[in-house]
Amino acid sequence: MNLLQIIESLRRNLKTVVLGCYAVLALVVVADVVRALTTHGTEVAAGEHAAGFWATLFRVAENVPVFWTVFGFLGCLLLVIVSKAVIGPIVSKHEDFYDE
Amino acid sequence: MSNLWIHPSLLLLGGALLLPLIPRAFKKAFLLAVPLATFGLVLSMLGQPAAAHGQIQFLNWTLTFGRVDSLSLVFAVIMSGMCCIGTLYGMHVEEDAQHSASWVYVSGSLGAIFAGDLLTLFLFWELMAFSSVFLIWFRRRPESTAAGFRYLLVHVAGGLSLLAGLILYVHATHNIAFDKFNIENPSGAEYLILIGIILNAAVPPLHAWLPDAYPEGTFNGSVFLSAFTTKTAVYALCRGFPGMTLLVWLGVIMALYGVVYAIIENDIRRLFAYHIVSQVGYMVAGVGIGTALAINGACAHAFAHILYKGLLFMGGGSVLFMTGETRMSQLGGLYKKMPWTFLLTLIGGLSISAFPLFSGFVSKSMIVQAGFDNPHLYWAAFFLMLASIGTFYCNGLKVPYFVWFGKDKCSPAVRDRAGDPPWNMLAAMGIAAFFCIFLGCYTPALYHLLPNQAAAQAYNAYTPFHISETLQVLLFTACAFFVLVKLKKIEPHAGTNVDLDWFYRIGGRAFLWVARKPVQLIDTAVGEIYRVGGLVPLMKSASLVGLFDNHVIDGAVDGLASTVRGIGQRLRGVQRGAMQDNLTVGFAIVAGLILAFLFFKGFSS
Repeated sequence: MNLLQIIESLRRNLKTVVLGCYAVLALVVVADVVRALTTHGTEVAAGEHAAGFWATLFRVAENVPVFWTVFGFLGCLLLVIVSKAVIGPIVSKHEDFYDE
Repeated sequence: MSNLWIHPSLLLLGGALLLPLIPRAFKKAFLLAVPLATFGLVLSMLGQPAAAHGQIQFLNWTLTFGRVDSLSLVFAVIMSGMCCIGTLYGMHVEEDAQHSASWVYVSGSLGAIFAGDLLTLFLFWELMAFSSVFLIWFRRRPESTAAGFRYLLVHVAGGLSLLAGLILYVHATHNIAFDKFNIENPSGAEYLILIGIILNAAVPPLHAWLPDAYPEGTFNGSVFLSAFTTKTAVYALCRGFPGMTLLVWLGVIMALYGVVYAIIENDIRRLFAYHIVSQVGYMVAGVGIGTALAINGACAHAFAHILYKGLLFMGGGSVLFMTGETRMSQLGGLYKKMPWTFLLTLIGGLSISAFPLFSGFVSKSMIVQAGFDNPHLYWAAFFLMLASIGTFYCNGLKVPYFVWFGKDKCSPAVRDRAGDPPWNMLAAMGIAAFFCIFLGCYTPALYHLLPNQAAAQAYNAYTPFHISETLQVLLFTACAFFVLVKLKKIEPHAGTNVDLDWFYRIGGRAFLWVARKPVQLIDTAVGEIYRVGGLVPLMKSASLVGLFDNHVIDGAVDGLASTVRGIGQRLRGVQRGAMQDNLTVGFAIVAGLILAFLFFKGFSS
């Protein structure tokens, strides 16, 4: 089976592929909960006693399960919204902007 | 031992000179042999003790052409290796001059990496700038010619800053060696050198040349461009400015700046170019953090980056070469025509995104980890994590989706031309893809090359926390991406995004407009003055001042300004289209340089 046929068969079974992706996402979340429960506290070292916003965020990131799930999802939305809605309108010109 | 040492740049320069003389039947073999021999030569230096080879007495100074140590070697290995891949990728290009230009460019990069003193560094630094511009001009579009001139202009300015800095530095310290500068309390000279270097590293606000020029290069020239200039600058920063806190700030700004511009970019090669800015930001931040782990991270990331960024530019180059189009608003649905290009580009995208088992995962994480090791740098590490979201969003999701899937917006001409590229291009991409995965799976291959061995041996990228953290961030970025696709919020649009090059593109025009009127005024005024006749002596004295400037002041810096002007005049010819003539002259100069080098080398040993 060549590469194109593989891609096309994946596209034909898109529903199954999407279900599989959901399963992977769920697995990643569950695995992180397990990891956080079993390795609690061992990763915290350098910033244990530091104060301030970033140190607090660091402790949350180290100890709260699925922190990075939320970070990835919201971070992506944040980056896209800032880029497309704030920066884009300022810097985006038509295609021949420099040719005139 | 030093008698046996051959500078790897010499092989490439010699190869570049001989290439036009090679009979057609042997040309392809020669194209493969020269970079492979260079790569082999660099590999043969691994494991030897650190040493300074090729030392030459020049006036009162000792020039060192071959400082071989673990830091220079890790960069030299990947540079010479990438030269093999890049040459294979463009092997079917008939024009010898294109190959010669890329080899001279790589030899400049290798020369700068092995340079043990500032003067040699400067020499090869300029060789890089003047040879790489041809990789842009050879595309032979009016836009490429203009972009090439802007590229050259910016690099000449950066080179002058470097030169001014090194003259002042050498004058003040009587030391020409290129080692760590005084980063706690840098002098003006050291700042000038830093500016020259960070311009080549494309640090904002000195970055706009990169996304301006690289997408205008030839399909294979941009593969070379993406690898050498910025990473040579990263090497120079590792050598000269490790631990400078300013660089942490600049690196983080770069990482985010590149990402934001990439998100709104429509042209895939310009998008990849903005991701060079972003990825080099990680390396610059790593140099700024300056711990053993962070410097290892900067080197490892440069190593991995050259491979995956080369791979991405080869993917983008294949789309350009086969379809003539690189704008996502005019592409889509190409998986049917170019499935292998898709798969290989996707591997590049997953590597740059630091997916587990791909090269970026084992290199980028060192820099981020070095940030998380220091409570004062948590902010930097979090922002770098945020930038990595944008990296995956663009390279791993947006480009593969909108070029190979998504809505088919190809014109009939583009659709007809589309197809997987010739075997040599696919083979080059395959080799790069193999190494992207190999480095990610077998970490000792990369870690054994790093300069701080103790830290490299102690580091493990594959901890449960790191794997879990990365998978969560990346997979939920993908989740957000498909939500945005479903909502039809991120369809690519045609458009130009204005960056800081606006200042010299529009500003330059404003300058010309302003200049024209005074020039006309002066013209009539000069006629009047001559008619009156009283001011002729004044004009004479002005030209004397000009002569003094030319011959005395410039003479003091070895006639450099005259040389630059001479080159400038030569380049004017290029604009008229006499490219081949000019190349001949250019390579004659290079040949002269090599002969001079060999001559001096003969004296030294």
